Amino acid sequence: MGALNNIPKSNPFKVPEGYFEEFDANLSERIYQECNEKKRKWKISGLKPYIAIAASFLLIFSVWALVLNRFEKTEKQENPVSVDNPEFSYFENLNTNAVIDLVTTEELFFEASGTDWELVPELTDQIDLSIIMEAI
Amino acid sequence: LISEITQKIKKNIANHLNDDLLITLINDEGKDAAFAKIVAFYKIPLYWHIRKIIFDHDDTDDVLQNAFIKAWKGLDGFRAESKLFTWLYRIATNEAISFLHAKRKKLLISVEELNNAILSELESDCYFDGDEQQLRLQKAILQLPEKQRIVFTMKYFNDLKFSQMAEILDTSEGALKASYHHAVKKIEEYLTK
Repeated sequence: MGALNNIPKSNPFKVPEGYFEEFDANLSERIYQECNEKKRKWKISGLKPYIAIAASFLLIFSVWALVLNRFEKTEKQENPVSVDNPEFSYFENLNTNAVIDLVTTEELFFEASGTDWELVPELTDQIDLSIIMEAI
Repeated sequence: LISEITQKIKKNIANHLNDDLLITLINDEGKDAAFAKIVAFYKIPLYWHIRKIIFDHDDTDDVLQNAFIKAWKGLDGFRAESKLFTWLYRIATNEAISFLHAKRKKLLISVEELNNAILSELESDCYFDGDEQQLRLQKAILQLPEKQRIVFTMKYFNDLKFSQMAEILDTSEGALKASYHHAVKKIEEYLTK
């Protein structure tokens, strides 16, 4: 070990002043933090069964609501004349020609004129008012 | 006078912490008190062991704290296991090696690039006080493969016995002697270049 022997074996590295004196306190603080973190995680894990039960209930309710919603939609499609809103159902399939027929028949005209047209949103898409006015 | 002598004996025992004493301490004074004595006794030798592998002070501090935290967590299961000295040095060595691997992965660089980075940091490190020759020696050590570097450091700087190193690194004494021999040869070659 020729070349290696010529190099002094003294330690060339240094540490900041007071490092070893403060080390114990710094380590204790880190261990304390780790223990607290562990306790916090344990607390959360202690709540896990309750969170799981709540999530299960939420899932069951969501599935139930979804199925119910689908069932109602299917029912409406199969039976478009709704008993809940007869006025809307009356005008649901209305088009320009039907309105002309309607307003040129006196009896029906009075029946239709009592209707609030603003309440029927699809109506404006289905009929052309200028054609109706000309027909009248 | 008797209490003074008792204190001195206690201090003397604490300075020669052995496994049996540690187990007695854990049983008599509890885990916290036993651990405090372990830290007080081993923090300096373990610090220098890690520092010679990692070079940077801040990184060494992190690794040393992690090593002691692992020791703290594993202290309950220590009783039936290996010697305290071997156990702690093994934890510290593994933590240091893991740190270097993690750093290399994080920076996405090769072993050679990492060693060059360590070297350039060392040249401007305010906690490195070595002369030109010592810096050259550190450069030579950094050229070594990881295993040879650890073996050389443990033997040359820490003056550990091959039997102790074999227990710490879980390798045969023969393999360690061969490793050390190769490491010395490479360093000599580097220094005489």
